[in-house]
Amino acid sequence: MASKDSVVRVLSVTGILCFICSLLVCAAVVSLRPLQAKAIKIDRESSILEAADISVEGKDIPKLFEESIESRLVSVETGDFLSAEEVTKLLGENASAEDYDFVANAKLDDKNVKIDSDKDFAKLKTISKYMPVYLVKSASGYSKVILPFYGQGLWSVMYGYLALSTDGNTILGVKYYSHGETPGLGAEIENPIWTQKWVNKKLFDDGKNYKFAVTKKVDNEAYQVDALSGATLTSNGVSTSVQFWASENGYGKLLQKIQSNGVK
Amino acid sequence: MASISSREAFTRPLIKDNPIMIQILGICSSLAVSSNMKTALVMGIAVTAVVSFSNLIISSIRKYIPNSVRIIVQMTVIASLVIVVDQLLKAFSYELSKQLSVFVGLIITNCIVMGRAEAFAMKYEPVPSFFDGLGNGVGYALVLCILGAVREIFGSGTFFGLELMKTVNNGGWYVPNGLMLMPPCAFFLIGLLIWLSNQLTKTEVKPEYDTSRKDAS
Repeated sequence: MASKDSVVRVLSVTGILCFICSLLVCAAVVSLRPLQAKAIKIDRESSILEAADISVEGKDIPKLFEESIESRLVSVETGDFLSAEEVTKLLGENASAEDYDFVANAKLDDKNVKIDSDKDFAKLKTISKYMPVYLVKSASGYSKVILPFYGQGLWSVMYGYLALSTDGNTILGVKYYSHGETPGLGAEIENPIWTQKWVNKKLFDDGKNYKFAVTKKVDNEAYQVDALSGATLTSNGVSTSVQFWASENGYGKLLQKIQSNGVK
Repeated sequence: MASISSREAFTRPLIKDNPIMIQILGICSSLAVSSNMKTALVMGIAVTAVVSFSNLIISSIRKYIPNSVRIIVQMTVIASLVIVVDQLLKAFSYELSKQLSVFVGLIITNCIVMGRAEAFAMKYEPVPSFFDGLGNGVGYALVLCILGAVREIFGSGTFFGLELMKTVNNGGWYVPNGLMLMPPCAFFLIGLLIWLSNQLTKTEVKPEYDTSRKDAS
C-alpha cells in the first residue's frame, strides 16, 4: 500500500472527496431551487406592496398581492400595455406578467432595445423591450402605478420600485429592494425616513418638462429631494435612474399616455 | 491517541475555553452580525451547524487525509457545508439571508471552523469532535447573542424586533445610542467580555502560552 503522502494517495483522496462534496452541493442547490424561487417571489411581492404603501405585516403576501395588485406588461417603445392575448403569446400559457424577468431579457439581443449613449443617463446600455408594471386596484379602477426601475449607483446596479399616482406625475413612494451600496451611507436609500421625502414630489412641470432631481441643494421643494449626506455618488445614481426611466427611452411614452388618458 | 469525553468536549468551549472570549477566534463576523438578536441567533446556529458537522466529517476521515494537503481537504469539506447552509437559508428565510448577505459565505473563512478542524478534529475520535464543534458553535452563538441583546436594546430600543423602549423617532422618549449599531461598538463589548471572563477565572493559575494550540488569526 502506498504511503499516506504519496502522489497517488494525495490525488485519489482529494479526487474522491471533491466528487462527494460536489454531489452534496449539487443535491442541495437543485432540490432547494423551487423553494428559493418561491421565497424570491414573495420578497418581490412584498417590496411592491411596500412601494404601494400597503402594510404587509403578518399578512399572507401572495394572497394580498393577488387581491390588490394587477400586473401588466408595457412596451417601452410604444408606451402601450400589452393585451392579455399578447402576454400569453409572448410568455406562454403558464407564465404571468408579474414574473417577467426584465433584467435577464435586457441582455438578450432579440428582447432588448439599445439606448443611445447620450441619453443613457442610468448607464444601462440596453433595457428589456417589455417591462412589467404593477397597478394598484381600488374601488374605482386603479389608484397607483408602480414602475420597476434601476440604474447604476456607486458600486452596483440599484433596483427599485417607484409608485406614481394615476396622473402619471406625482410620486407616491419609492422602494429599493436590491443594491450593493455602502451600508450606513449609500444603503440609506432603503431608509423609510429618507424615502418618505419623495412622497408628493412631481416628475414633470405643467409644460411636461422633466424637473425631478435628488440634489444637495434643494431650491424647488415641489420637484427636488434632499440627497443623502455622505453618499453623493449614490444619490446621483438615484437621480439619473429616475431621469432615465421618466425619459422617452424609459416609461416616458407610457407616462404621457397616462397623463392624457389616465390608466386603463 | 489522546482521549477526551464527549461531555467535556462540549462543555469546555462554552465558557472556560470560549472561542471568542478566550481563543479570540471569529471576531470579524461577530462584529458584523451582532447588531440585532435575529441575525446574531441565525448566524450562531449556522456556525454551530457548520463547525459540528465539519468536525465530525474531518475526524471520520482524518486517517485518510494526506498530511501535505490537509488544509485544502478541510477547506473543501467546510466550504461544501457552508454552501449547503447558505442554500437552506435562502430557501427558508430569504429575508434573513439578505441581511446576513456575505457573512454566511464568509463562515468558510471563520477561524473557529478551521481552528477546531485543525486543533481538535484531526486528533480525536468523531463523536468527541462533533461535540467539540457543537460546544464551540454554541459558545460563539452565546457571545453573539449577548452582544446582539446589548446592541439591539440600547441601539434600537428593541429585542428580537419587539419594542422595549419607544424611541424618539417613533414618538417615544428613548434616544437610541447610534454607536451601538456600529461595528466598533462590538469591539468594545467584546473587550469588556474578555476582561470579565479573565476576572472570573483569575484564581486559576494561568498556563504559559500553549504553542501546541494552533490559533488562527
